[in-house]
Amino acid sequence: MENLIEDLKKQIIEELNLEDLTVEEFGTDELLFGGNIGLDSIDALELIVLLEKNYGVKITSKEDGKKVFQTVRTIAEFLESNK
Amino acid sequence: MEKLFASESGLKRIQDKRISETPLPLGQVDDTVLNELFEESFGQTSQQFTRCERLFLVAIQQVLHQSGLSLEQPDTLLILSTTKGNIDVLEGAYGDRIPQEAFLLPKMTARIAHCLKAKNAPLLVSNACISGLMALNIGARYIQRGTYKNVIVAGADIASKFTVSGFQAFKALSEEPCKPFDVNRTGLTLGEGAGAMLLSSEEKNATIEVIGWASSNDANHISGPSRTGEGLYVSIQKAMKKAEVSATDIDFISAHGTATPYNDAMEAKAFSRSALEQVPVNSLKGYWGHTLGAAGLIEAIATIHSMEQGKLVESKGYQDHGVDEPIAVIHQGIEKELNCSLKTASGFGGCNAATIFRKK
Amino acid sequence: MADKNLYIQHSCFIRAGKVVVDQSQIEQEEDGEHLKAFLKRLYKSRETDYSKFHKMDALCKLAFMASEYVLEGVDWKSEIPAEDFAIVLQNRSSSYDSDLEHADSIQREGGIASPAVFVYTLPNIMIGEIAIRNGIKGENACFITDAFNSELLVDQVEDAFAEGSKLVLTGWVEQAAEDYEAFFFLVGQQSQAEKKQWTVDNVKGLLHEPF
Repeated sequence: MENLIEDLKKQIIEELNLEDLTVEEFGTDELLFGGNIGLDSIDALELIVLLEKNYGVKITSKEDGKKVFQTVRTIAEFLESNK
Repeated sequence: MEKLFASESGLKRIQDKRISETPLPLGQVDDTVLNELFEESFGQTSQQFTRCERLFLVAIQQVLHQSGLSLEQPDTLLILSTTKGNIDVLEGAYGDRIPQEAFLLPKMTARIAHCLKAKNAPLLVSNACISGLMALNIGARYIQRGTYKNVIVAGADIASKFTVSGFQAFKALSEEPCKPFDVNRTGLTLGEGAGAMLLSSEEKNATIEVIGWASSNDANHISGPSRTGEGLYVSIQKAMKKAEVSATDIDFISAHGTATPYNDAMEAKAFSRSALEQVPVNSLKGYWGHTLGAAGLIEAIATIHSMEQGKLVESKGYQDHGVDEPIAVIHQGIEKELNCSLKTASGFGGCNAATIFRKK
Repeated sequence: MADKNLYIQHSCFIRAGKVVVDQSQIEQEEDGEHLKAFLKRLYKSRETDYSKFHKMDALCKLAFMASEYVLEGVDWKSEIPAEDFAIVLQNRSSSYDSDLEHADSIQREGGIASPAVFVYTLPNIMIGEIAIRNGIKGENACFITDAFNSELLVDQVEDAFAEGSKLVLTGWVEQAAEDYEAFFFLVGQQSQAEKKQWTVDNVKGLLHEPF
């Protein structure tokens, strides 16, 4: 799980061009949207692409997206449960 | 126009791997029809031109033919509008028949200008989904400032894998033909097409005047429309001010109405804030889809036909009201005297435009 | 048209490895530095805190930096409403880099289109980025021309003023891979002695100054 969380942080920073953020500063339970990280609607779509490309997991409904994309931990848990 | 008044949609479910991996509704122009029209208009084979160029050329040639004008005249300017122009060249749609550089918009402009023997280098406007309306607005200005006697404004865009895949990635496409302003709307339907309009300082034969225009920016987000409708509201207010009309003078609104949840909600807010809730409004996207850089212009042309014939076109796909404000979306086409109409458009990059027409 | 008394308040040129603001060079590309690295260095050197910058494509980054320089220290918000500030830009290659990137991603076997790339496949997004950054809400037009057309720009800016704009950010932003060129002018009605009038000759004059 910890490795997955670390990988996810790296990938999110890389794919979403969050240059001002480091893996160390990236809180596992920090809100991705609406908080300090401040992702927007395009980032949400980009996260869907990221999970599909890197983990072969598809998120199709908006409701699922909202649940899964709360924090890095919720994404990791979702990936674990979809293995 | 007969099909519009009869509420017949041109959207069809297509299965074409060159455009999309999965089947989807689309407003496509039949290639055979386009080529026949081209060969009829130009007496030459259409093979040396791209689809987008053929669309442009056929539309422009019809206006030239009807008006007896020629672009060889120094007092006549051509303004083009598109978002992606010859983007299918990049997808290898023509092999060696069309040079690769034709994908660049200035090259496409030059190829069109050459075919029409245009004396003045045409202008090209590329402002996302407001391009067509912007081209019209800029043309109207050139007439007002007296630089040209005639301006032909033309807009075209094609349906390509490039745009379809992009909108799919945005989860913005509807599975079913789009339903603007409806409670069950789930996104847009893409289309392709071209429109051309003659603007002239000569009054003869003219039935409609362009009396107001404006554009604005939401300054909010590059892809999401403003939640408050502020940008569109600003465009409508400025256009009404320029036209010296008030909300009570407007008889009809031709909205952008893409049928994405946020766009239609934003438009309803802007119309409501502008005291235009009672004014009959439609979106024509349910007939031919979202034609992107041509949309504003094609829909403005339909607006003019509506005004000339005194008929309101049903807003196709609209059944149950699906926006917060009680705007008057047209359920059923009816006859109505239309003296003054408002056309609006909004697009990526936060841009908005509005144009006001008056019957002479 | 109504008001011909328009003046170039500020100008910024980013071309041939140099940044020239109000006719003085302030930055220079390092040997062998690629465009993206150069733009990132310019961004960092200004200590601007605007994380959206990193998400932009090179065309928008170039336009963004040019707008940052030309608007530096301009307190327009206390003078005019946001809807009276217009942006009129020109370029040649539209959104060349992002077009190629998106086309490549969908043609590759198993490739997935990226929304963050697709959104930049429109040239007017650079206007949107500048508008969002500064809260500019006025007229916005994007022309695609084969080469910089000063006559067109001067006409369009005059028309914008005639229709009520009080300030116009205008210019040329061209970028395709490592080829780039940006010139921005902030045009307004204030006429201090050193300010050049907004005319085709003056625009061409500034353009041909050897920097």
